[in-house]
Amino acid sequence: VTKIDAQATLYRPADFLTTMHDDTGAGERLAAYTLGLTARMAARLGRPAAVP
Amino acid sequence: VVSKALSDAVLEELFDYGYHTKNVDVIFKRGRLRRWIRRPSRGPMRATVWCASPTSSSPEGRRSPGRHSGTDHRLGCDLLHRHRRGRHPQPRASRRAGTADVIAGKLHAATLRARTGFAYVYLGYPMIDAFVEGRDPGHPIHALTAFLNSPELIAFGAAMTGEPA
Repeated sequence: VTKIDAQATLYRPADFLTTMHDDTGAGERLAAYTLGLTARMAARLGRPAAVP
Repeated sequence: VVSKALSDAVLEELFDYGYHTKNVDVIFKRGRLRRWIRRPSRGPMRATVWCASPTSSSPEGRRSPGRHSGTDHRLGCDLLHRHRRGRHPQPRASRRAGTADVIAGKLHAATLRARTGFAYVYLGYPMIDAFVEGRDPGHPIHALTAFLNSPELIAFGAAMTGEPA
């Protein structure tokens, strides 16, 4: 692992991502991640369940 | 809709400052839009505009100047004046050329694809390229980019994937 690529995308209400893949053919990608940043997020709006 | 509501010059300069279709949304009532399209002169129209500053991290700043009711021309001028007064970083000359044409091309291509299926356009912010090229100096997103490529997170990624750093 030598670098972590990143792209910022703003999702508004009703925006969504369709079925896709990130295979660019470069062959250098090992894993993918998503980091979600939500304004005014609250626990009552839902959050991932704790991993046992 | 944005390209129709704002003049080409204003739109292009806003793009240069980092605003794009995800930052500037112009919401028209359909009837009002139809009437505006039918107008021979197509002058400024009143619109409700959500605008997010690409250089502010505060909730107020992100929406500055906020939900704006007024003419599209006045909104564009307001945004540009904020930048020209130095409240936000100035654009790089190299980013000015062709930005509006690129966006128009993407919209046109999506329109053609939509004839036979689902089509959409999105614009992303290439964080690594922006960081390396020194684009938008002082933008808070660069701190996140640096964090993502810090030795600690590289090591975390190596541990998660099982590949050596």
